[in-house]
Order: sequence, then C-alpha cells, then structure tokens
Amino acid sequence: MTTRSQTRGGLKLETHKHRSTMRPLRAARPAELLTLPLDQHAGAAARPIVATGDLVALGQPIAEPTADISAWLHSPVSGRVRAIEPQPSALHPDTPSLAIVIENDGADRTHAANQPFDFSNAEPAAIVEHIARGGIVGLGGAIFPTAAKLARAPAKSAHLIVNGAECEPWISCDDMLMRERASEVIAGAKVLCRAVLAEHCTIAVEDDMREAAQALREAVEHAGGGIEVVEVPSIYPAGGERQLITTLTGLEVPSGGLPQDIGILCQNVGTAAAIARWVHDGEPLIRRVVTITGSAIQEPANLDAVIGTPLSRLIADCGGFATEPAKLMMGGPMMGIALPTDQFAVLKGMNCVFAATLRDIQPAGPEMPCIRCGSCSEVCPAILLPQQLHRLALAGEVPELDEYGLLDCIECGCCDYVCPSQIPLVERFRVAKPEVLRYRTMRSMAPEARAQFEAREVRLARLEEERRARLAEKRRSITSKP
Amino acid sequence: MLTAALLAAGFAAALASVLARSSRVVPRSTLIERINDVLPQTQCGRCTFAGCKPYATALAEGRADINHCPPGGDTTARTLATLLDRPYKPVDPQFGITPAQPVVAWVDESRCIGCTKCIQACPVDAIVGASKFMHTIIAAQCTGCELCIAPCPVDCIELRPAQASQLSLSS
Amino acid sequence: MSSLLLILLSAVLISHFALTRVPALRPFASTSPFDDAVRLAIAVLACTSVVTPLSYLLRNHVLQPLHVLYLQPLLFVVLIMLVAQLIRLVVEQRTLWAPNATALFALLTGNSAILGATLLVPSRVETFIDSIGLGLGIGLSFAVLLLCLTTLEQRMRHAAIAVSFRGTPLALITAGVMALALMGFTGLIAE
Repeated sequence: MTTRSQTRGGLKLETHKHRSTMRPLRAARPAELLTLPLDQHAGAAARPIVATGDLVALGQPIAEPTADISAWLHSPVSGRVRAIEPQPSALHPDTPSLAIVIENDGADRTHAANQPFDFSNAEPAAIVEHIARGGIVGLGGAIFPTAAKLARAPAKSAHLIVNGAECEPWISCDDMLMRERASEVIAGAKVLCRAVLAEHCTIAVEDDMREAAQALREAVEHAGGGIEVVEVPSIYPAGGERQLITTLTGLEVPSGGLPQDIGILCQNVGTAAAIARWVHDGEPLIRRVVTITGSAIQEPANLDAVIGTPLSRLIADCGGFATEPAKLMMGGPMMGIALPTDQFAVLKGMNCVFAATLRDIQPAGPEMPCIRCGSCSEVCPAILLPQQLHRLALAGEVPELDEYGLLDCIECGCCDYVCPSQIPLVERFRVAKPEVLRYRTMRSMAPEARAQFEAREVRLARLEEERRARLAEKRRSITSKP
Repeated sequence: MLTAALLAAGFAAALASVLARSSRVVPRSTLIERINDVLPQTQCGRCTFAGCKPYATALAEGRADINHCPPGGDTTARTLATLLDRPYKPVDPQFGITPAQPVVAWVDESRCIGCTKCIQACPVDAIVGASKFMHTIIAAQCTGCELCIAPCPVDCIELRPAQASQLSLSS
Repeated sequence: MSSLLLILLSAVLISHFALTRVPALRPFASTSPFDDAVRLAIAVLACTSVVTPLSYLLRNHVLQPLHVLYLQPLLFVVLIMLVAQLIRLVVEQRTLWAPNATALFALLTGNSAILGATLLVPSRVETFIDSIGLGLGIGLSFAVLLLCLTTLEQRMRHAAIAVSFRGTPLALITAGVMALALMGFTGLIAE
C-alpha cells in the first residue's frame, strides 16, 4: 500500500531515541509499596471493591467501573491493602485523588479466576465485555477505556489501524515493544479484528523504525498473514490518530467527529499487546513498558514496570540522575506534563519519564507580540490557523473561536515550537477550550430549554383558563338557581 | 414644460403610494427575537426579569444593560454588545457569578418528601415526580437555573457538575 | 475607470460607516458585522441590477423622446427610491434579515454607487443588455469592496493600534490603502 506523505503541517524533529533503545527490554525491580489512583483512565473514576487490610492476589480486581465510560482496576502484585486515601497523581500533580495503596508481599500469588479466554469462538459483544473486565484502556496516551471505544465502533466493514507510529521525540516504549514482543502485538490485533469484525487491518510504524517493522512482518507471517505493516514518514505528529488515518487512507475524520464516523478504529500497539496478554494469558492490565530517558538520566532504558511503582524506583533502576534535571516530565517534550518531584507512581497511561536538562527542552524566552509571520499556520497538522486562534483567544471572542475550529486542536505543540515570538500558544488554547465547550453546551441546550419553557407557559395559561371557566360556570349555576 | 411637470408628478404619486403601503407592513423578524436567540434560555430570572424573553424585550427597548446574564457569561455579553452596538461590559457580579463548569441540580432521594414545590418552580419541566412520590431531576434537561433549590422545604437539592454524557451536546 | 473607482469606494466607505457606527441606520441586527455586510451587499446588488436597466429604458424611451433630459437626476433618484422601497418590502416580508428595515431603505437610497450607476448609463452603455451588465458589474464590485473593508476591519479589531488612530481614522486609512491597491486596475481598460 502506498501512503501519501503527510504534506499538511508537522515538523521533522530529532528523535533522540538511540540511547534508550540500546539495551533490551527488562523488568523494573519490584517495589514494596504501590500506589494506584482510581482515576487513571478517561471517564468516571473507579470505585474500590476492597477495604483496608484485605489480602489481594496479583491480578485481582480491586476497583470497579462506575459509569458507561470507566474501567476496572486490578492489583499488580499480591499483598495487603495498606490504605485507601487521597494521593497525588501524575495526571494532576496539584490535586490528590483517591488511590489504593498496596503492600507487596513479594509472593506474586496470581488470582485464580483470571483464565485465558477463547476468543476465536466468541461473539464480538462477548469479546468486548471480556476486554472491559481486563481493565484495558488506550495506552497511546488517551487512556480511554477500550471496551467503551469498541462498543461504539462501526459494526462491520471496519478498518482496524494499529498505531505504532511513535512520533514524539525521546519516547521509545512502543518501538521496543514492537521489536521484542511483536507476536503479542499481532495476537492482540487479531483479537481486535474479531471484536469489531474488521475487514482490513493495518499496522503503522514510522519509516525510521526498521527493526520494529521487520519484527512485525515476521510475526505476521508466523501468525498466518492478514495484517499489513505500513511505514509512514517520520514527521511529528505522524502518530496522532487523525493524522495517521489521513496518511494511511486519504480520508479525513470530520471536525467534531470520531474515526468511527468513517468506519475506522484506531488502537495503540501497547493496547493490542495488553489485550493479547489478557486474552491468552489471563493477565489484566497491570504493567506496561515505560521509557526512562533524558540527558539527566545515567543509563536511559525501557523498563517493563507494574503500575503503581514509584518513579524514583524506575529512575534508580536506570542508574539514577546523572545531573540535576531542569525538568521532570511524564510524557515527552512536546506534549508532556511537568512533575514537581519523582514521588509519583506509574499509571496505565504513563509512556515515558523524561528527565530533561536545559539543552533537551530549550525553554522559551519572554513572550513578544505576534509578528504575523504565519509559521504556526504552516506547521499545524490539524489544518487550523493558530495565528487567528491566538488573536481570538486573547480577545475572548468565543463564538468565533468555535467557528475557527479550536476544539479540533490536538495540542501537539508544533505551532508553539516554531513561533519566533515565543508565544505559549498551546497554553492559550488549553485555557480557551473550556470556554468554547461551555458556549457550545449553552447553544445546544438553548432551543430545547426554550421549547420546554414555552410549552410550560402554554400549559399554565390553559390550566388558568380552565380554572376560570369552571369558576364562571359555577357562578352561573349558583346565580341562575331560583 | 407640461410634460416635465406631469412626469414628475406621476413619479411622486407612485412613490407616495408605495411609501404609504409599506408603513403598514409588519416585519417578520424583530429585534426582540434576535436578542432572545442569543440568550441561553436558562429562564433563571437572575437578570431581574421573569425569563429570557422579558429580558430580551427590555434590552430592545433600552431599559436594561447587556451585562445582566450570568449563565450566558461574558461571551453572551460580548455578543449582545455587537448586536445592539453598545459598549461591552463584563457580567455584573451583583446578578450572579458565571459557573466555572456546567452544573445540574440533584435531588437527595433519602430526604425528599414528595411535596412537588420544586416541580412547580422548574421553568423547563426538568423535574419528574408527583405528590407523595419520589422526585428526580432529568439531568439532560436541567439548565442549572437554581430556581428549585429555594422552594424545597427540606433543602434536599444541591448542584453537581454535569457529566459529559449528561450534556445534550449535538455533535 | 478611476472615476468609477472613486464612486464605488466612497459608497463603500459611507455604507460601512453607516452599518457600523450609526445605530439608527443598522437594518440587520446580527451578531457578526460580516453578516451585516453580506446582506447589504446582496440588497445593493439587487438594487443596481434592477435600477440600471430601468434607468436606461426611462432615459431612452421616455425622457429623450420628450426632450426632458434635464429631469434625469431628479427622476432617477425617485426611481431608486421606488426600487429601494420594493426591495425593502421583499426583505421584510420574505426573509428574517431585517428587524429595522426602514434603515435599509435609507441606506439604499443614500448609496451613491446606485445613483452613479444610473448616471453613467449614457456614457458607457449602448444597448439594453449592456445596461444590465453595467448594473450587475457595479453591484458586484460594491459587494466585493464592502466585504473586503469589513473583513479588514474585523481582523484589526483587537490589534494594538495607537489610541489616536482607533476607529474612524483607521477605517479611512484602510479605505485609502484599498484605493491605492485598486488603482493598479485603472490602466487596464481604455476609457
């Protein structure tokens, strides 16, 4: 299959992945205490189903979903529940949220009820239900509960795209996963194909990930074919869901819409591997590959860590800090979240710990006025106009922000990166988005509310009319009597 | 000379008749409707008028300023300023504070006594229930106007952030 | 050509000022000044397309045979008022555009481009078909120029402009720059 190169926007960035991919994947050392926030997935936080003091087994469910869009949470080790209390979470470093803290007893007793699942004879709905029970969420960064996404996928003629186009610099967890565990990725892709009755399946990798592409092709052949491995140009953000879909199929996901609207389902390679482990080995989502990297790390590497492991443990496993980092981030330099300390735990969505020196992140200088150069509009992969969006965001013109498509911004940071006036564009857009969402909500509720109100007025007027007619009738019948 | 005078007179007569006829025409769209389309239709009454249409009427007649609507927030104030060609002002806090996120009312069912006072107060009929039966709020229709909170004799209604799935967002 | 340009630009500038700065002359109460400009442009286009051929007929088949050409400006103005009133009626009855339609009548009547189109008929037009073309041409040019000026004003709304230049001075400068830009077309067609 030929791909058109991503001609709209994007940046060619240095990948900095060499140091972290030099050594093979290895497991992180087990930790004594594991912290598991209940809101480490998109949607409603999970609700604990264990209590303080309970003994838990490895893979035992410890929290259940509370809404349609929510996920199960499982214990990554065997041990005892030490506490259920608010703890800080890397997703929102300033606000603690409820978390389950587990003491590891080191025995790794597995939960007996977790058994392999025969998906080849199961109905798609049953497969989706089973995936839900594994606590599987999107590991590409969106952490959206996979079962909820699959339930909303098109029923047939779906094109499944498995996203291995890891585009953000420094992050290499998906690359290592594909190099060393390609068979798991393919097995997961097969389960997904059956779960949505997909007609085509494509795995995308960037064109500089040669070993990964090779490993995947061998694994596909070994598994009987049926999946195409495609290389896409390594331009950031090639791995963005919408950008990848356009590159592979030439179709554009409609503004405000989802890939399912054009018959496409996109899943990350890590998610596929997690599904394979759950379906074939009975191991729910309790661990993932995390890249520990940055110039401030002694020996950058990719570690297979269980969720709940403190970051300080992972950093120590990589030789500790070589120098004091200028910034510690969850994620990469373009879209990551800065962390104040390393006292946070690995989450399902944590793909990378980036200990950056000043040279790695090149902090922005003081903000200067916009010179209307247009570089931002040239590089925007979502084909938006950041220059106009910025002007409107500063002026607070919310309806026009909606018209110019602010809600389609994927916050990739390309415009920020190229701005010669060092304007913090992504920050401005993040602040403006809730305003636009609120405006949209208001506009969509207004007609219905107005109709209800007017119907109520009509009803009250009618009741009043009837009451008056009744009284008049009564008065007439009284006065007309002799 | 005569032809010129006759011609001029004829044109003047035509014009006069057309002008006379058009003065009795009733326009299809009115300024009040335009303004009402911009307002959020919460019908909360915080603007000191009895609903969004009365406020729109007052705005059209120049009796009210554009910054009376907290549910609409500064966005609506800006739109009204453009519409009516008046200077923009942010929403006056004396009429209320714009909520940071959409909120909906919620009935604590363990304390509800089934008195129907909140049902009568709700301007958009978003509360379901009957006398001596449990009352509940249809979150998707609640506009967060807070009119049900005061009438409740046992104070069992509170405001909660609206979940994304409850917002009737047209995609 | 440059006289036509002058007429058009001054008409555009005056219409723009009327739409945005004179509350009583705002026929279309809409939330976006661009929408206002689009609707006025359509109304003016309709007006010129109807008035110019009618003025051709009036001049050549009524005024000239009767030798009362000196009545031309007066009767053209009255003709424009008639057509403007009719357009106003159509807009008011059939569309939801104009809560304040009397202002539309005032804007159309006072629009010098429309009067200019009717008065240019003898010097530029030979046949009836040509007069329709002239009317359409002037209407479309007015539309394009008005939309350009409105869009430019909208883009500069929130720019950091020196206080003494904000508002009317900047609008005049913008119109001047537009005139300079359009002067390039004046040599294209030999007069």
